[in-house]
Amino acid sequence: MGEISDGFIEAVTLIVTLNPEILEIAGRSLYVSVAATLVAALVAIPLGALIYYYDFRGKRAVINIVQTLYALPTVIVGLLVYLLVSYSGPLGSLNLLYTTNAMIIAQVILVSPLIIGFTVAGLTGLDKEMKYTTLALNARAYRALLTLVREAKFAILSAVVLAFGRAIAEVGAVMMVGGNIRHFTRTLTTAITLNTSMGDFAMSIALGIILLTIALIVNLGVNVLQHYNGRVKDE
Amino acid sequence: MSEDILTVRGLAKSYSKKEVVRPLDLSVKKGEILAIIGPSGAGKSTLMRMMDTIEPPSQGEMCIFGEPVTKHSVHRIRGRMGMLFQKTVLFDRTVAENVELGLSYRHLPKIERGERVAAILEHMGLSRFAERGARTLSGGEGQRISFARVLVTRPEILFLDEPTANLDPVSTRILEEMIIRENRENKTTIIINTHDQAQGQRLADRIAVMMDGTFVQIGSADEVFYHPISGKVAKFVGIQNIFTGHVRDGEVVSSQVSFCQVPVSLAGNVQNVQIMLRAEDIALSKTGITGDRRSVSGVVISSARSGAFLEVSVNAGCLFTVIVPFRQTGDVYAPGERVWIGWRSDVVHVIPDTS
Repeated sequence: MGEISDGFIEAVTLIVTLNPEILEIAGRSLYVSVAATLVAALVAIPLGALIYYYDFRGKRAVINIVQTLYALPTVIVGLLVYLLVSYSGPLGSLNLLYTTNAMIIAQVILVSPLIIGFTVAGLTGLDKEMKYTTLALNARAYRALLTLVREAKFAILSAVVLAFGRAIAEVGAVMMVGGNIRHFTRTLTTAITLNTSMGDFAMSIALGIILLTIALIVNLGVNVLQHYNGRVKDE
Repeated sequence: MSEDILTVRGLAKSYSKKEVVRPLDLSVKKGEILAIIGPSGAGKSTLMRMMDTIEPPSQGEMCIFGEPVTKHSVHRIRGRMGMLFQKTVLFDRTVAENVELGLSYRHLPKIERGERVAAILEHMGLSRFAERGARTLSGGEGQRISFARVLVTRPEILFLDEPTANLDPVSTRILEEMIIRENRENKTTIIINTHDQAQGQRLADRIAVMMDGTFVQIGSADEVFYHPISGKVAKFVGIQNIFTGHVRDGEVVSSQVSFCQVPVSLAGNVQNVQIMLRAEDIALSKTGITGDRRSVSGVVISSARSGAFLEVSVNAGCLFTVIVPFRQTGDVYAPGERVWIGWRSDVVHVIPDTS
């Protein structure tokens, strides 16, 4: 018990005194997850919009697969990206293994299904007359989609924020492809794992507090967005 | 009236084996107002979306503005048409931005877009709303904004899918006036879906009755409302007195009531008939019917006020429903009371009974 409370006090001290290593790790975590979320959003929102817009054979199956991938185990993603970027893998020549870029790739794969699925759901949640209206006004597909995505913006943004939450809290994949190398690829989650196994609870608790704070902010963000989304629908 | 602006041949639509629209043909003339009336679920909306080219048909072909609708021509054709939906669609933007949408899809220069939006809002008396959030408006105002958004693109054919179904009577009147004005001022061809047969009668040059996915009758308002081709259509267009009867000694008879002489329209040697008589075409009196009307006496079964009218059920061999203006009679018809009802022979519509 004493160990925990001592650890807690020390953790707060580490945060308040802006311990450089903690700042570095938190900064890297934010960088990797923000970058991964942005890249994923850039790919997944248009992809989700296209899946919503066009009727094609197997559309339902595609959506089911995407939804199944919400629960994609992070270690599987880690393994996949490891095989891709390891020195004998197809992307081996790019020397990505144990870099932040490899971690970003892993997180992009991890969170893209979430953004695709929620984009489809957000757009499907709009009145179908809205799509008809853009069509009847003679919009080309991309203009119609821009209009519709803008209408579903709160639903889609909350998906992006959720995706960021999943990315930053993830540990398995970034550990495998990043390697948890100090000053290079160590993030909040991998550092907590390491410090806990080494018995450095103060450091773990300090990092945990930061991670929780970020999670809290993410959650608040989602709530605010969903509130706006609800308001738009009520009008 | 001039050439056909829209022709469809064998147009049909199925959703996973369910036939929503069965193969049908239709021609619409330039400048015409055609009302498609029919019960909910008849396939009117699906047909309209196909004609507006925003929903591909399962089979059949269309020719619009003299050009067959194909993958290559569809955008060009659709750009000259417009459609308004039953459910008001307003985007989360200002009124002016909503109205501008179709013009920006057409890549019109910003200055021209602004001028046209301002002009249409002025024309429709909506200028004061221009900078308001579109979703802050009432239902009637919102539907007028949607209408403005279509009209600003200057459609030559306008599809209106139950445009007033969600509106109050006052808003309905305003929108109907706008529809008629658009037709008169710009010679816009208008095709309107409505389940409200009276609205069809108020607006349209021609009425098409759609049931179970296809047209069962197309004709003038007079033809459809006074000479329906079947009992089912008759019921839908509000004919309350429909009797089965037969021909006897040159007279059309049902339950000992002689309705009229056998009309010349009844070709051949028809024995069994359906007799149709609009409730408002029947006169009602406590003292007797005079003049050249057929009349028969009966007993009041019930009577009920319906707005400014009184609906009276009379048993005179057949069970008649009679509608009379309430203020004019001022009378109360008590159940059991003996009355006279009468009608002119020419308002009786007789068709062969094929059932």
